[in-house]
Amino acid sequence: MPRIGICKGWVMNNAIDIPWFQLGLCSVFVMMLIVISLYESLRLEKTILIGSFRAAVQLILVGFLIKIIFDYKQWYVVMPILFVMIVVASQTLIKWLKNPVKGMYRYALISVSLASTFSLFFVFSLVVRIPVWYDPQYLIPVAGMIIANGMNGAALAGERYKSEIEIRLPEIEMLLSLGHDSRTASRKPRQQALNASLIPTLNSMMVMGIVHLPGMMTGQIIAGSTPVTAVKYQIVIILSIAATVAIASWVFLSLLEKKYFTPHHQIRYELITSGKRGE
Amino acid sequence: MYNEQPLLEFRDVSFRYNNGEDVLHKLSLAVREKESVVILGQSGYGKSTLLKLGSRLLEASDGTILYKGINIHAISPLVLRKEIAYLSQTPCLLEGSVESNLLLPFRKNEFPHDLRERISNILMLVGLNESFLLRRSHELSVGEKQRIALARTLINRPSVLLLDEPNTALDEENIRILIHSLKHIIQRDAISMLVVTHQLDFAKKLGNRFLVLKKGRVKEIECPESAFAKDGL
Repeated sequence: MPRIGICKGWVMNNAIDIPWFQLGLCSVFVMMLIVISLYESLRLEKTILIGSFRAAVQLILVGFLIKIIFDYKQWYVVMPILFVMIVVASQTLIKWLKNPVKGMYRYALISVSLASTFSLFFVFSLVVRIPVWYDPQYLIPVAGMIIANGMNGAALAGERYKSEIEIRLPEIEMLLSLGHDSRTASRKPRQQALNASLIPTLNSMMVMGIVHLPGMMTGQIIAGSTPVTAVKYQIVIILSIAATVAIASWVFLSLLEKKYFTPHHQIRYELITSGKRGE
Repeated sequence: MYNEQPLLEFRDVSFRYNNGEDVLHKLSLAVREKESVVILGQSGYGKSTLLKLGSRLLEASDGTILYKGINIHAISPLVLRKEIAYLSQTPCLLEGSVESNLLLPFRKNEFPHDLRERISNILMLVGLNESFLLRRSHELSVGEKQRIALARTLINRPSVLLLDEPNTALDEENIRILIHSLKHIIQRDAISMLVVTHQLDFAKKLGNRFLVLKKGRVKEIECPESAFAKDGL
């Protein structure tokens, strides 16, 4: 019995399988990377080799694992997987920040999980309406895209927010000294940080379908989905990603504000600058 | 004669950085109504820190700061900073017109009914006029920026003004205007001032009382010249 929409494609009814030997030919791309690295003295050869090897091995393992999970299809298997995805994403987010301070991991976890949960709930309860709410065939791939983008967005926002506060320290001090609260005084850094996190997604939306044919949609079409179905899914995904990035970044920044400012609307200079305060 | 009740008082106030480095140590001082207290001291002795503590932009490590006899911890920092206004050494104006900068102390839709009058008076007080309102902040000279920043601080009608080296980077003419404006403010609006500087002439012209800040403590002196002679400022 056929599944709704996308599933026909996902079981790869019509896609041409790639034999392992032919897949191995892709190592030519890796060699090209190494040649450029050597020619331009980038010293990236080791990273390229490790990165390519890891990507291939991790994906092959995940491929087998996902097949088992898809066949097993139990909520108590799917939920821990989603939890691990969020935890790893939050850890990665913190690693990307320069000089993360105590408590930031908790903020990353809160912002990524809140934003992702909202988007996933909305997509699967109202838009796609999957018959089984924890169906891993839908939930895991889409959650992966949403969580990863939320993580990227929040990391970009967090990094930019701190540097904007540092650059605009005199301006923030001035606004605080005029009697404004820390929320108002840090509005400009917050705006810049949100811009920085949203612009890659918004730019991608601008050229979507013209320059950029997203991986998921391309994969679905190759795998046999009708282009219209694939396009519908892609619209859902890109819009939910944009919302996730915005929510994750905004929540993360709001939590960071509590870190960088005291409840008495004072700057925590020791977290922003090298530790010296005032003169 | 000054009112004896201190408007702003520091009692045994200490401040140290997170790494334990002492900046101010059990410092006590009082500023009374209509007083202009000048603090002299070398760079790095914690003069700016002292002023920021007064408007609670920084938190003292120990001791008590009182405003009109009330511990400043009992007053909302947002209210306190309108009463005790801090003006930093470098004037910071936002991009945009002078008028938009002068309106910064007010929240949207919370403008006072006499706003136009206030702006006009304040501009006159700092030696400027209303033709400046439409000028862009980046078009102003350093001296004009400093005077606009002072006007913006005064528009809130504070009781105490904390001035951090207001004469830095100003030429003689601008310093003269600044001193004239500040003296006028003390007389007309009964504002008290705590001013930090390391320039003798500026200190002499502006101050009623003089303090020297050294090794985290203040010492009262009769005339600023002695600070320059004895303390090597």
